[in-house]
Amino acid sequence: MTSSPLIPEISLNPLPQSDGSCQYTCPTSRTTILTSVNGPLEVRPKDELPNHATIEVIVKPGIGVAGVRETRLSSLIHSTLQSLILTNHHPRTLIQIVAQIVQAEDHTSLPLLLTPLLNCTILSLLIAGIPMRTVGWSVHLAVLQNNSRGNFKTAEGQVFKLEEKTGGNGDKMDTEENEKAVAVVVRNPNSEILGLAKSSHTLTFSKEGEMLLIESLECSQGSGGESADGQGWDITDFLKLAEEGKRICCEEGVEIVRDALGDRKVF
Amino acid sequence: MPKEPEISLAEKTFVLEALKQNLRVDGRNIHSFRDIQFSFGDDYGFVDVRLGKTRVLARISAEIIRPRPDRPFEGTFTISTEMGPMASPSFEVGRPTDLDNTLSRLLEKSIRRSTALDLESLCIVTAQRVWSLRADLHFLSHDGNLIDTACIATITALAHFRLPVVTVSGEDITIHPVTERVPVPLSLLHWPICVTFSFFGEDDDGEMVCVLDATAQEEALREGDMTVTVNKNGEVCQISKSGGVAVEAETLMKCARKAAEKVKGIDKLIASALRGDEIARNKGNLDWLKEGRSENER
Repeated sequence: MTSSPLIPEISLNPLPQSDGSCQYTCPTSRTTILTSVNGPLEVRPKDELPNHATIEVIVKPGIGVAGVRETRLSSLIHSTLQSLILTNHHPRTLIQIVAQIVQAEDHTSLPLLLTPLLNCTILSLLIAGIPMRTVGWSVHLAVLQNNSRGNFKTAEGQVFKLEEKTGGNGDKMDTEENEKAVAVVVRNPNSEILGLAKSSHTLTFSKEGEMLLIESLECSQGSGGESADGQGWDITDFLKLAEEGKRICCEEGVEIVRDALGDRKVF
Repeated sequence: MPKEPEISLAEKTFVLEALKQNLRVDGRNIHSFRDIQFSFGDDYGFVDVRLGKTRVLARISAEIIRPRPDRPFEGTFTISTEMGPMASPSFEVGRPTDLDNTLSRLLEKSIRRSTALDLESLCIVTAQRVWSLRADLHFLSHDGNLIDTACIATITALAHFRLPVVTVSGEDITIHPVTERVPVPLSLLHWPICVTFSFFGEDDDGEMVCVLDATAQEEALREGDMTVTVNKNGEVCQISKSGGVAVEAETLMKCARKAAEKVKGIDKLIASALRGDEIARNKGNLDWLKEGRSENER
């Protein structure tokens, strides 16, 4: 159903020593993440919760030592997982998740790392057999300037326009005639495309279509998600975007997870 | 935090008795390494080394800094080794284990102190700008012999890394991106490689049982260990033996010779892996790369 250039490369259980692990490579930005899940483990007394399992998320950067960015990433992942994992099934234990950034175009860009990190973590949790309420999937959408005529390369089906009704993902972008102010959206952009973007949105939905995480960022053109020009984004555009993100996560995302797990029928 | 599972008495006796007869649980010869597999990433200076179930990633990165005032001609090179729970749940974040300390000191001694990397070649403008290299080692899976794997990974990554070309005109420094000028390899003077021996006491003939490339199970049962760092020319860079069972001088000499022999094989493996990657990267066309070489024909 999806065109193959948009399906991530997933290898399950690459690490034999952990309870569950997954290596995930984003097809477009070539970001590679490796996560391992151990649990339920013995918990440190100070972190012990009487009725719930403690979730620990450690994000390890590819270059240098962990800093503010990694703490931010791990707290975002933590809050998403908190609503997915059935922590009351293993009270007074620890579910430990380590995510290693193996390869990235830009090791400093938070939006480019978040989606692969979330998807990889969810897959490794499934493999580790951690009880979860439902499955989530994340997608990163970048909204480009209306008049951006950047000649970037994209995979088939990666680009769509925000119109009255989005005409599926098959739309090719024809930069020659931008009739009206129609925002162009690129899913899972690479750092070059993100550099041209007006705003970037990381959307995470559960299988049932509940929104789990929105991480939106306004970027001024050409600064690669660094600073903003204070114009924000249009709420109607955002709602359409969220609708499209939901479709991608609930249909395509869940399909990718099912394909990856194969005969290990988890859900 | 969870401890490593303790090995049962029956298992312990089985492994040790077998080793006394020069047999190993995984069927290897006591002096043979597990298969070493290399896989390189899209960018230079990134390698994933697998030794059986042990897996270590190494990544080299470079940035331009101001040199230390007492060493104005030299760039800097740091090796960062931080083990996390990914390798084994018994490793904790921010609390280095003994293995962690041993490992970082051994790599420091083997690679940095043996001047494998010519730091003066990293100088751009004296006392103004130098390259600062950083090797990040990520331990993904621990099944014994992390020291040797980490050393092989660091050396391979250093040999794989390419530094962007920098031109200096007056006060201005221009860094040419990879697409503009062919980046140059680092000037590595030699490839020091660690070989760790594990000792299991004396066998029936009264000779010390020394095993190469021990698995996690063997490491947990060994009575002592020794790391010898040799390069392919047979020059010993360092020997480290901290505690454990006492070893005769004769055994030590034997180990050093064995290490020199093993290193020649590993050196060839690294060179052929690098060659394979270079060919894959340039799709058979290697002529243009020769111009980017900084080393002379020897």
